[in-house]
Amino acid sequence: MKRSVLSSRMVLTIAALLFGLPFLPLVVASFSFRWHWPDLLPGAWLWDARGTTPFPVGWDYLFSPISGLGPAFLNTMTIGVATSLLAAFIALPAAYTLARHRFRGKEAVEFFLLVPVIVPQIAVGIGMLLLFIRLGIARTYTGIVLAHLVPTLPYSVRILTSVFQNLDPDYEEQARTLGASRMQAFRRVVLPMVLPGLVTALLFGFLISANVFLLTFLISGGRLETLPTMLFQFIESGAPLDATTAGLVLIVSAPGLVFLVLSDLLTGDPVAIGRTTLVQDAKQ
Amino acid sequence: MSSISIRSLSKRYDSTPVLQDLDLDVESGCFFGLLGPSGCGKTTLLRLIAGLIEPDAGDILFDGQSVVDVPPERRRIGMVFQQHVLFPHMTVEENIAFGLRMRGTGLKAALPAVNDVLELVQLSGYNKRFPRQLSGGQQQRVALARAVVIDPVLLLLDEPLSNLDAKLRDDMRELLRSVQQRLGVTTICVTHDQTEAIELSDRMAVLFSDGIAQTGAPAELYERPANVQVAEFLGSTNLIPGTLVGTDHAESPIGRLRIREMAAAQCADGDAVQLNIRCEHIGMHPAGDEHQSQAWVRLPENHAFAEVVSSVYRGGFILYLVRSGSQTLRVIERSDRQFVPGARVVLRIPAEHVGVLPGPNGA
Repeated sequence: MKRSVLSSRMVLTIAALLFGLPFLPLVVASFSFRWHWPDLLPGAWLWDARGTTPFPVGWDYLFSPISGLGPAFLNTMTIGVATSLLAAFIALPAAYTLARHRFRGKEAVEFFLLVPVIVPQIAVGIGMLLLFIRLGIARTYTGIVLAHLVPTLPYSVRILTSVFQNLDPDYEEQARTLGASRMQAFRRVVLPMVLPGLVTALLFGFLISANVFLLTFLISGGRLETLPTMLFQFIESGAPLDATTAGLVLIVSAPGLVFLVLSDLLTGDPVAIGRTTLVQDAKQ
Repeated sequence: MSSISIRSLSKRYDSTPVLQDLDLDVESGCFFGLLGPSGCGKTTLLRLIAGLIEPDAGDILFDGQSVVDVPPERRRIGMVFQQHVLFPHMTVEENIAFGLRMRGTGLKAALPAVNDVLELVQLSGYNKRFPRQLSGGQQQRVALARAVVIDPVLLLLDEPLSNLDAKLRDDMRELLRSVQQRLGVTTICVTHDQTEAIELSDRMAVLFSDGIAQTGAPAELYERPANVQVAEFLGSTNLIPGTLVGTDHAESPIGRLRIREMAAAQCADGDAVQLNIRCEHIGMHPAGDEHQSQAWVRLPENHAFAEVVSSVYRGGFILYLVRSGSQTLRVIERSDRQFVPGARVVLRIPAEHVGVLPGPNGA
């Protein structure tokens, strides 16, 4: 028992190193003004060069109003929160039904829910764009949130389904015998008991939305900038990694970090999400 | 308090029939034990009565009123489940008050009633604990309190003692009985444990997968089982093949035995039957010297020679395996007199304890 705990801790440490180390040069690069091969450290730091350039560079640029980082950040947050809430709202009854009931065509429904993960986003995106233009919701928050539901929903449904599967139906039945209607049993007993899973689904939905580039890019038509679309412009220019891009990459990665912290605070389990999906996979 | 009637109730899962054409009556205020092996459909029956599942056919009546179309939350029943007995996210107090609050009482207003039932199950002062802070036995008692606080017309217990260890089980059994008698609530208790059913019940039924085999007072079922299945399921017994001779004797591998009066009322002279003799009803005595040397000595009626094959000490009493002629018998004796394997003994089989059951081929 003790041995398995120890080894799992080692695996975790190695994983954390593999995951964290690549960020180190990014942090250094985001503070460098000139960093040429084969120097181990930058030849000139950002703070040395401050004021010598005609326009702000690196963090100075990112945090100046001209970069547009503020609105992009706000857009990412707004769209992410709206998407995850909407996805959870749709996924909750779907997942409950999938977990509790057997019905004709259940496998078909389950497959259908997984399809968005299989079909290329470019195909989905262009189709949606044409439809949204006709509906007049292209280039709007509504359109982008709806588009973001496509990659988000399969995960929300899967996570919540496994959460409901792990909740013994006994509890609802107890509530029923004690005088609770179906709705009361759900609200007073089921919902509080699946809350950690629900929080996980919300956070995961947010994380997916915050990382979507292609769908946002297609539907927004360049009018609404989010962090991923903003980052894409820098990659497009083909320049080597400069301080500004490095800083932006770090900012785009921030939601993931926020996710881990929030997950830990709200469910007491930093990798709750990994656990629920693993449980689901083990069952299949 | 209600009387419960079940009329030709049927339920199948997919195409497997679980209950077929089942009839059952439980008198008002009665503690009714429903005993059966696992898979006989007893839990299904309980869930049907609770309304958690719907029957395919038949009727369930509380005091003569059909409740088949009444949803579980309006049947006014109290139910104690076999496992996961409490809501883990609520305190003891909130758990118990749940039923009252669903009926529109506020938590504050429910508190006096909550404290009353907590006292009833001897857990006063545990209000603010969470289920995870309680032992299994305490959780079970809170579950019982939660079930009775709503003043149910019917209390349903699903294997209430099966998850408790032996000592707790005894305490809980006594508590269950005293709470039920104090409240006088009609109770149906499902169990696979014959001791539990026999000790708790006013009346009981033995349920097998093909239906209810027998209904009656525990002593009635134990002393006068209706068939071989019931006899074997309740306690340990000896079933000996025999042939009726007249109406009061039977020929068996251990000799001719006088049988209980009226025991063979449904059988006729010459019928093949099973003789049912409880292990503890057979008396065992050392065979005297005259028996050792003179095997031809005549024994009185319903006595037989036997040889001890093996013995198992069971604390307070001993279970012997003895051989008499071609027949192996189990005999339970007090442990103050011990017989070693190989010892010659005389068995005394009182006629009033020789029951007659329809033979293996269904006489």
